Amino acid sequence: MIEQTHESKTIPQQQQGTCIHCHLPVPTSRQTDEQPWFCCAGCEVAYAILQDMDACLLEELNQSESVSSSDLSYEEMDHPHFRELYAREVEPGLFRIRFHLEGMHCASCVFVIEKLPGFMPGVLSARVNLSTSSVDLIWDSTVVALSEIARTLDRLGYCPHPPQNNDAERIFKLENRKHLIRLGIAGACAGNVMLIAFALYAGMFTGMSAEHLNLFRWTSAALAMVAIFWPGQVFFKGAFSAIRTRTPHIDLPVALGITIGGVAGVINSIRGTGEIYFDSLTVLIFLLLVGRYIQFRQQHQALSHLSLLKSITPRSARLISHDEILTVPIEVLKPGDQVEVRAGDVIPADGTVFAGGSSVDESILTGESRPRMTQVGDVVTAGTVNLAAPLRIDIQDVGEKTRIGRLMNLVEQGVSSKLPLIELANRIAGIFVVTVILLAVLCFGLWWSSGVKIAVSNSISLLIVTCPCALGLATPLALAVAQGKAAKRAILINSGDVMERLATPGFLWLDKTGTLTYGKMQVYASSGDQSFLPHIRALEKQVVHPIATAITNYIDQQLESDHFDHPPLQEIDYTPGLGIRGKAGGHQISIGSEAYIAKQGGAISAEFQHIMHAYRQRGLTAVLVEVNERVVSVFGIGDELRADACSTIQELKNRGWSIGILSGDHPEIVSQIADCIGVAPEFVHAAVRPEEKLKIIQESTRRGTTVMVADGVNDSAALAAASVGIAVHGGAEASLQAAAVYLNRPGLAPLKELIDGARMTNRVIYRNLGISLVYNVFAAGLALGGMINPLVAALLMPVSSLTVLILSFVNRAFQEPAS
Amino acid sequence: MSVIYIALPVAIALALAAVISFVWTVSRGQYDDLETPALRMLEDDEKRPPPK
Repeated sequence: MIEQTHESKTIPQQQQGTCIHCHLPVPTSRQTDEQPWFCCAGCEVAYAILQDMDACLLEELNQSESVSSSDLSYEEMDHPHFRELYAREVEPGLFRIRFHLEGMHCASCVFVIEKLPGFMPGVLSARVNLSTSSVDLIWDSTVVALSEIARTLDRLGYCPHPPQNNDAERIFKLENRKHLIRLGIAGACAGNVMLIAFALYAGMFTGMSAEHLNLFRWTSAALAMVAIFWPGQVFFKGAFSAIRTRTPHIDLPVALGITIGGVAGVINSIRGTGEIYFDSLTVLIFLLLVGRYIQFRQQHQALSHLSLLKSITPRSARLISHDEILTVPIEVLKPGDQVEVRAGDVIPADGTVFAGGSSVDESILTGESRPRMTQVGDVVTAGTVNLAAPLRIDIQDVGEKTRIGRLMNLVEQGVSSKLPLIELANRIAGIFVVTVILLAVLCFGLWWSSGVKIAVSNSISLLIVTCPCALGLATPLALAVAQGKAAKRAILINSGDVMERLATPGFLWLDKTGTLTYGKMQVYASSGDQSFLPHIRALEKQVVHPIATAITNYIDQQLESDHFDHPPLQEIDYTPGLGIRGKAGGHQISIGSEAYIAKQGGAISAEFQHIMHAYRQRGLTAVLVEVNERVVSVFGIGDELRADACSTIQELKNRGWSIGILSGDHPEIVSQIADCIGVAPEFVHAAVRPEEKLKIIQESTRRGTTVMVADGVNDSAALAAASVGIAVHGGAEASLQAAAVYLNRPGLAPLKELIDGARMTNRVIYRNLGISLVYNVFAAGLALGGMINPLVAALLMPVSSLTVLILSFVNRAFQEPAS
Repeated sequence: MSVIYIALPVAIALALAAVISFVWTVSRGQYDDLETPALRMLEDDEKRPPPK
């Protein structure tokens, strides 16, 4: 395939004797020695202003402070291995690379990024593709390092990622082109055959010489053959594979109609008498291909750019080699290597800790929000986050062999093992073929007495006019329209079959953390003496723990200004998982759970006992503060239910869905939440591992429609295996990739909207099918009565298609609720 | 001989030319990205001439 080469923009060559600004001829009086020339003073001024603005803008971009940079160094991109993997040398020293960029939206993004060569020496060209959010860069490796370019893009607010599944994208591109070419050819044939058909119909009423009649018939026969054998091939291929696999498919009746129409038309052209149906056939092929194209586009709307595994593991690692630490791309790592993982970094591979001690956030794998303590000799897994202190790790497994890698393989298997949905149109197609053939036989029998010729001709017209054009066009269109409307309501659906799958209520499994709840530890209540807040803050700052972070964040909010004292700290003693103790500003302070405070010997008054009980009722964890051996205040910390969770769950129940909870969290917390929203205990699974979630979902799919709603990486296998996986707002990249639907709006209310919208869309599809069947019954009736001729057929088919097309657009699915 | 014998082949030839150019544009990738080129025209393509 010839790739279009995008060269960097060159300085426009001034054409001889024309103005550089407006390209009008320049009067000789203004043709000075000095280029550029201007035709008038106005152009000169305008040109100068534009140039200045451009220069200003470039300067500004060059100097601009970071918008939202990730502060990554991108050093791994300068490793030769990285270049080998992702870049291509176009000329000696010149390389081409494609980056996927985060955060690209509109014209301004294109504008800013394509200005890159203007202010970054060494970047020769930057071409943006907005629909795939990518940029093609050509850079001179002798002038500028790739990491420098990446940092600049990052600073401008577009975090670059090297491309991952180039293959899928390439295949999509080629497939898209094939579809377009088929459409173009089918359209051209249909248009020209129609024009000829006009002449033939006119001739039917006014008379036409046999010579001309034959010329027209043969020309349209030739064009129709092109349409049937080139773009029309897809229907025959589809029909053959449907016969081979013995599954009903819409291509079956279509191929039957096209074949019979084509053969009859050619025979009648040779004989010089009888009907030809080439106009109807070519239009049929064209319209069905339009439907096919719509279907293809909607299925690939959410083309994934990053492979699942790569989106979780970091791109670079700090390799320890000969007492030196090198930043290398993650692909270089192999078992036996040693790496250092700084606090806050993602662990790049599975391995054993050989130096250092820290706490590790494993929520990505387990869904549990509490970090795990890690010491020398402990096993850590790729994708988890090192929270507290540097760790040195002996690598045992890398890439797909890691636990997270195997989990992502499960996701991919989940997607492929999903039971394919036989679409409604295809299910009907089977019955359709049989009915139509029976009707044709009946027609033949009815007209037998009038002679074989008439009987054959009438049966053929029946077969052609009942060809299910509307069926093949209306369903994909209705789905595409619904998808578009849903996207406007921030519900992103990546394939049309979601609507059909959601049509019948079944099991709806929800994840807890982040889906039913806000997914963030927060202080929801506090009571007692507030004067020690700065002391508490100073102590809690010493710990990396979600609860400690929640408390410091809360205090920062409460105190509002930065002008509070920072009390000096002494004798700090931290007991992981329980609490912290120390001297702050002269006071002996202990912060921790009830058990921790009790162990310190602190007495908890009845008043605080009462408050703690109230907090626990709300599903909150109580954290006590003891100052100088007296409990002074208490914080209620937890992960609260989303405001719309209860009402949404109730409404879904009313619609006949069975609700269940699948969570990796502790059974007590989960059952509390389940009680809150009213889920029966037999549908609550707590402390389940990702693999177990997958198993539960797979079992559930065997019993009926299964919907999984979740947000985490640990849910992604289950999301992929469910009939419909739904990722909620703020979910992890992997869950978005595994799910068929993404709710791009916080809360659970869009879930209800999705289910209602899907039901309405299905209603539209059924209505369309009903209408096209009525047309077909009418047409079959005419054919049985011998009243069909090519003109009637040519009118009937587009009218039936048009009706269903209009109805697909005009419906209430996913409409903005009237406020 | 009727004029249709000339007009019809001419019409078909025109249609053929259109189809061929369409196929050519598709395979050159001109329909791969329908969004960005429309926005790119908003950009100025004039640059300051190189300093002398």
